[in-house]
Amino acid sequence: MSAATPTAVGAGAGASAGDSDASRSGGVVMRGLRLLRIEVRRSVLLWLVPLLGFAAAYAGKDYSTSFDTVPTWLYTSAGIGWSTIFLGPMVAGVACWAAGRDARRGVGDLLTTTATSATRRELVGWGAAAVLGLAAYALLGVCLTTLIDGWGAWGRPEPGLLLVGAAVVLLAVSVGYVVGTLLPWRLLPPLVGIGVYLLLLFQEDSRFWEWQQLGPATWLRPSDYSVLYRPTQVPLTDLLLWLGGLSIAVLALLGLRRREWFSAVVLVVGVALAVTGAAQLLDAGAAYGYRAEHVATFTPTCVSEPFPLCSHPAYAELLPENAALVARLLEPVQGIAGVPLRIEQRGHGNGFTPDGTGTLLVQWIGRDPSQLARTVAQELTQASDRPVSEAAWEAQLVVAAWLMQRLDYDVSWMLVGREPGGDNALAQAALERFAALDVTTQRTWLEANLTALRNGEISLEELP
Amino acid sequence: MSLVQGGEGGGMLARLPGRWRLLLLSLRVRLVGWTLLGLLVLAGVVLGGVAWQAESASRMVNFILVALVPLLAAALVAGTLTTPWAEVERTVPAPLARWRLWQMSGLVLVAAPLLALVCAGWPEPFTGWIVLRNVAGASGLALLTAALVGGRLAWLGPAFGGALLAGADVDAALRWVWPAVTWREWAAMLLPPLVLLAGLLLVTVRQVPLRVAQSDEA
Repeated sequence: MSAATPTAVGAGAGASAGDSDASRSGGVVMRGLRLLRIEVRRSVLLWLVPLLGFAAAYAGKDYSTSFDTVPTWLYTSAGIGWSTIFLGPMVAGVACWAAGRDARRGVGDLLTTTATSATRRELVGWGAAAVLGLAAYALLGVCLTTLIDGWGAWGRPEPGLLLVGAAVVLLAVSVGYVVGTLLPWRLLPPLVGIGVYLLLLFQEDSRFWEWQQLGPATWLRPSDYSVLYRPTQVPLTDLLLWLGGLSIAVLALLGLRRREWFSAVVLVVGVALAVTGAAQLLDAGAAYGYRAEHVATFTPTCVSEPFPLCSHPAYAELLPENAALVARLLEPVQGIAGVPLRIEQRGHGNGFTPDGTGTLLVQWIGRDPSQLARTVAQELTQASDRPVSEAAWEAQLVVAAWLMQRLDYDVSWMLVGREPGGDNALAQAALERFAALDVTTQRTWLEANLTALRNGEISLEELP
Repeated sequence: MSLVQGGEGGGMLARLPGRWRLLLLSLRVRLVGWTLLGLLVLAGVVLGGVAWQAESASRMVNFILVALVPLLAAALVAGTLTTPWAEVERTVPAPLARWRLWQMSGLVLVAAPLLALVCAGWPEPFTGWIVLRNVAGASGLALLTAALVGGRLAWLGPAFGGALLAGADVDAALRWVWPAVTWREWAAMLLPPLVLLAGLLLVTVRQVPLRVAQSDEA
C-alpha cells in the first residue's frame, strides 16, 4: 500500500491543476489503471496463476471427451469452459484470502485516510483478482488444449462457450473477494471454495433438476457436444445476463455496507439482470429440448474410391481407411439388390434413405473402421423399421457376422442364442455352415434371399 | 506484551510455571481452542447431515463426506500454524519445533477419528475408514503446503491435490481421493499416513513462513 497511495495522490494533484474535464477523467482512468497494475504485480494470485491454470486443466482433461471420435474445437471449447468447475472454487478461495489483506495487516483504519474512496480501492483489488483469475483461465485453456491434443482440431474455438467459462471465473472471483472483504476470517477461504464448488455442481444432484438450467456446467458439459449437432445450443445472452448480473449484485455489496447510494442502484441493476437471465434460462430448458433434435446441417466431405463414403468435414481424415474396409466388407454382396451403393454420415440414427438410391445413413464413423463395418453389416441384414422374431434375428446376425468374419474380426460376441444361459452354439454352427459354402453358392443364396432375410422372413434353421 | 503477561487471562496463567504458561499462550494465539471448537461444529454438522440424508444415499453427499469434509478439516488443522507473534516467538527460549509437532499431531488425532466416527453412519460401505484415511492424507498435504507458503493458504495443498487426483486416469468411484493415485488398496492406505508423516516432519524441522511472499505486503 505504501507504494500505491503516494502514486495515486500525486496523480490526483496533477490532474486537479486546472486541466479540462476530459483530461481530468482521463487522469482518473490512468490512476485507476496504475493502481490496478500495482495490485496485479503485488497480488498473491500472480504466482498462483500457473498452478491454478494447470491444476484445473489437469482435473478437467478426463471430462473433456465428446461423442465425436475426432478432435474438434467445439468440444475443446466446451471442455475449457467446463473446467472452470475446478478453477472457479480455487480462484474464489484465493480471492477471498487476498481480499482480507488489509484486515490481516491491521491497516483498515489507516487506509480510511487515503484520497481514494475505500470502495474504489476495493474494486481495484477485485479488478486485480479478476485479471489474474482470467489469466489463470487463459492458461487453463492452453494447458487443456495441449493435454487433450486439441491444437490441430477441426473448426475454430467457440467464443460463446469460452465466454461462459470466463463469466464463471469472474463470478467466482467476485464472490470470493466480497466475502473475504466483508468477513476477513482465516477459515473462510476454503469454505468459500467449497461453497462455490457445490454451487457449480448442484445441478448434478437429481433433486435439483428443475433448477439445473441455472448451473453453467449444465450448458458446458463437453460430452454433450458434437459437430453432428447444431452447435448453437447455448443461450449465451441469458447465461451472461445471469452470471454477470450475479457478479454485479455481489460487488455492489462492497459499497452498500458504507451506505453509498450508487451501490444500491448497482445492486438493483445486478439483481434485475440476474433475474432476467435466470427466467430466460429456466424457460430455455423446455425450449431447447433434447439436443439430438438439433441435427447439424453440413456440406459433407466425400471419397469415391474404393467405396463412396461421405462424412462431416471433421471426420475427413478417417474416410480412406473406413471406405477401404467397407469396400472389402461388401465385396461378396456387391451388385445385389438392397446393398448400399453409398454411405453418408448424418447426426441422428442409422438407416437407408427412402428414395431408393441405395444411400445408407450412419451416425458414427470411428477411428477403428470395424465400427462402421459392423454398422453396415447389421444395416444390410436387418431392416430397422420392421419387428422380427428371435429366430429371424439370429439368422440376420449370422449373415452379418459372416461378413465381418471375412475381414478377420472376432464375431462370436455378435451372435445370440436361444439356448439356456444364452449359449449360441446353434448360431455358431449356422455361421460355420454358411462360411463353409463355396462363394458361388453363398452369392446365389444371397441374391435370392437377402430381401427376405432383411424382412425377417428367414429363420436360423433355414440358412443353408 | 500479552504474550508474556498472559493478556486478559493472565490471572490464572500467571500462576503456571513459565514454560507451561508459554505453551498455553502459544496454543491460544494459534487459535487451537477455536480450531477444536470448529472441528466439533464440523462434526456436529456432518452428524446431522448424515442422519438427515442417510436414506437418500446421494452421490453428492457422499462426495462431500469423503472429499470436502476432510479438506475443511485439514484447512482447520493446518491453519493453526499461523501466528501473529511469529517473529517475537523466535526470540523465546522454548522448544517451538517440538510444540508444533505435538500440536499438529494432536489436532489430527482428534480430527480424523472424530470425523470418521460421525461419517460411519453413512450407508456407503467403509465411509468411516475412508474419511479417516482422507483426513490424514489431506492434513498431510495441508501441512506440506503450510511449510512452503504459510498456514493461511494451507488449504490450497489438498485442493490442488484433489484437482490433480480428479484428473488421474483411473476408474474409481472415489476418484477424487487417495484410491485415485494408486491401483492397489494397500498403497491407498499407506500413502496418506506417509504424506501426513512427511508433513508433520516438515513443519517440525522447518519454520513455517511468516507470510506467503514479500509481495503480499503491498
